[in-house]
Amino acid sequence: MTLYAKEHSVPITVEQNESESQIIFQGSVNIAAALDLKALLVQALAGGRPLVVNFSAATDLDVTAMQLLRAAEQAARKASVNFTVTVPLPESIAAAFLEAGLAPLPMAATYASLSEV
Amino acid sequence: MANKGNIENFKHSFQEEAREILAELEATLLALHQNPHDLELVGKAFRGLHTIKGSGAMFGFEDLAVFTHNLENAFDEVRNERLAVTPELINLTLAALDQIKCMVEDGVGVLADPAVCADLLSKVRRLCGVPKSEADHEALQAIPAAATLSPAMVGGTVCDWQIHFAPGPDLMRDGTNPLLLLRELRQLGSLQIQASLASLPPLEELDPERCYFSWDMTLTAACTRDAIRDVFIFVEESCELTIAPVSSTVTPALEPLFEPSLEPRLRPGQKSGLESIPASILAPGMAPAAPVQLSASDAIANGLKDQRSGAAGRRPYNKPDNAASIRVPAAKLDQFVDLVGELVTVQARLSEIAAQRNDTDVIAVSEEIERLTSALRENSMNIRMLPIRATFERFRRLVHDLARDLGKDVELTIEGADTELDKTVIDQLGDPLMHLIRNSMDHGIEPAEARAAAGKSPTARIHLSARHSGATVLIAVSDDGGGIKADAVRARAVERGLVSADAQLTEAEVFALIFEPGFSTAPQVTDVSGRGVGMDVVRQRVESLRGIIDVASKPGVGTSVTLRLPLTLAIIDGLLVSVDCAYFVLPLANTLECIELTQQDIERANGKHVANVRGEIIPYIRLRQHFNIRTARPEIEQIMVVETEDGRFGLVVDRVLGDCQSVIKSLGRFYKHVQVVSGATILGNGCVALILAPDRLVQEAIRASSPGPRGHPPAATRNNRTASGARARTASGAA
Repeated sequence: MTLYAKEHSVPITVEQNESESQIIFQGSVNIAAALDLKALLVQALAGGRPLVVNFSAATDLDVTAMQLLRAAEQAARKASVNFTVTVPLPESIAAAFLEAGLAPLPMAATYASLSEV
Repeated sequence: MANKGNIENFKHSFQEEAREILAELEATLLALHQNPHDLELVGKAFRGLHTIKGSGAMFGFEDLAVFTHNLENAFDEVRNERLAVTPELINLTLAALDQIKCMVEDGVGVLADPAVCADLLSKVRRLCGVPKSEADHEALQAIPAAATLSPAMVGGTVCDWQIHFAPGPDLMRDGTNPLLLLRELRQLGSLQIQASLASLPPLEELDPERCYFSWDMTLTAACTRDAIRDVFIFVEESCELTIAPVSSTVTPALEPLFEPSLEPRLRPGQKSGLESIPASILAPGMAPAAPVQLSASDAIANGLKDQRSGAAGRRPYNKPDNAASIRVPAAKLDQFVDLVGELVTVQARLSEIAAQRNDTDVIAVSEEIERLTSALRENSMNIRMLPIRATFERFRRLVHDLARDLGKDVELTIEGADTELDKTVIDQLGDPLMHLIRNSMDHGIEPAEARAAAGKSPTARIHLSARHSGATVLIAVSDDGGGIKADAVRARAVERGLVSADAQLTEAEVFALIFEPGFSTAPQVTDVSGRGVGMDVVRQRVESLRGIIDVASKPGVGTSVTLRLPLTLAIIDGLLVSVDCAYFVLPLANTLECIELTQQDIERANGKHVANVRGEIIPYIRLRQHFNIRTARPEIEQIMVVETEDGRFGLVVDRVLGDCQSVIKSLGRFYKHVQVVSGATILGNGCVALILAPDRLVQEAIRASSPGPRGHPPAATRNNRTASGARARTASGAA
């Protein structure tokens, strides 16, 4: 079920079922969505379910989103919540991580820890 | 014996002094460029270099001293008429001054860019008649660190740079995407990059719009430090940026030899070890086959020994009289002014309490404190007032360098350099003026052939002027170039989707488009301009200073951009008024008079918002209506008549409470686009009063009452800005 979907400009949706929460990025995710993304991540982690980040429909990612994802991953680890990213990443998203000096993602697994991204 | 703290203080003093000397040296060199036979100027340049060298040696800036010594020698040759002043010598010396500036600012006097320094010294020595191989060799001895670097660095080919970039917290909030900067950096060469997340707070505490990342990078590229710095030019002020050459190619056996030292590094007859360096890591012309010559370093060492031996080596260089002035760090001054601002607020409160108590003793003390506070405020403001001369003068160098790079003959004239304005305003003027001048040089001034064809003087002119106008200062950058081509601006705006093709725009509105982000009519991006970033920066900065931009341009005659800025940003003299329970402050500088507005007056005007003031019809704006205050108006209202850019207007309020000194507090970023309010102030009774910007209020009212949109989306939709760009007003017909 769709737990939360912002209208218009915020390209993030959270879907939640009994086994996991999935944050789905669409299009360009930038500073305009940063406040909402933080709220969604905090809300999703509070549920205690494994969190999956899905970039398959995303086209671009800026530093605000990367920071939030990193912080969310650290928070998840602290709370012993599984935090994963669906792979393969779209080329533009992988390139954005690389451009920001973050290590490239191993493409073997279905899910990868964000720290590997 | 001086302790560590004292030594740091001395170094700081040296840095302060060196900055002044370097600024004066630059002006001297530029004057010498115009008058190459003026021996007085030659002597002045020599003395400046001599002082820098001597002071540097005294305070432990040893690399700086060695480097400067070589330049001093060249000017000694000029002084003794063995060397002529040529444009090449001037340009080399100016470039060398840039290196010295870096050494001074680094605080340790270590060569900023050893390869560039060695290259410069080699060229200077060659100008003095020293054969190339010998000049190169002397340079290498003077700049031993250059030998520790990749040989290609001296020759200007590929080398490694270590770059640390930590954006300021507001970088992304201000609209900058750091990834674009990193992308631009990547265009210079091969970039290895590592993000640091060390500052990243826990998710709950993280401010999502703040930048916490920093980056450490290694750039392998054939570029200069300046080329790298240029990537960060628009964010450099607000970020942490270090750029250092990588000297990893040093041969271990050579390291002791290249330890920076002022003592002669080799004994006569001793081999330098250079012969053991593979030729591949030495710069061209620094072949190890040549025997090491000790003369240069010996002479330098001996010279420096003289310098260090006593204060005699330090020549006074226009030092101010110690008894008459003292140096105070700007930060202390800012703190002082902040405290005075707080005092003004507290004093206002005291005055209000005194008035309520009706106790003559308290009233007397309150009035005395009010008088003293007012005097203190005047004094503190005066301390911050500085002449704009230093800011203006440094553009001589910019014009000189750009004229050389663009192959244009341009003269910079300056008027009103003694005009004083607040230090805070001056500090923020550098960037906008730089962009305006670069734009004039690149796009305004025509190439020599075009000027000749138009019958213009081959020497183009850029005129910088400043003058006071009431409580504002007018700063203008004018050129006698080709003027702004309104058709080209309009066509580009349509192409970029800024206006619709059928939009009816006045010339003023068209000119205002040049301040739109990313707007440029330049066919190609050059080193100087054409990215469409500069003018947007000008607008942003002027907006942040509560200023206005005027553009006047006439095809074939030239362009003049005038910045109208407040004298100070800290405190204003205002008139306190109220509408119902809301308080407003009107800047006293704009306020002309106050007249009553009765029901009869309103009926006489047939309900129109105009008042007859001694025969003059003055339109007025009701603040109650403008700020949507839904209470009944009193029987008799007050019209505050204000002088604005658009003429005299009235602002209708309920009551006029009296004059006040208002300490301006920012409204914060959420209100930064509310143009009609320039800030807020805390009143004596603890209430907040909004400080109004009458010019903007009137412009907004005019816009609201003018017929429909004109097909100009940016004006209509962007951040509540005025129709002609942010605060840009334009006019044609004057250059």
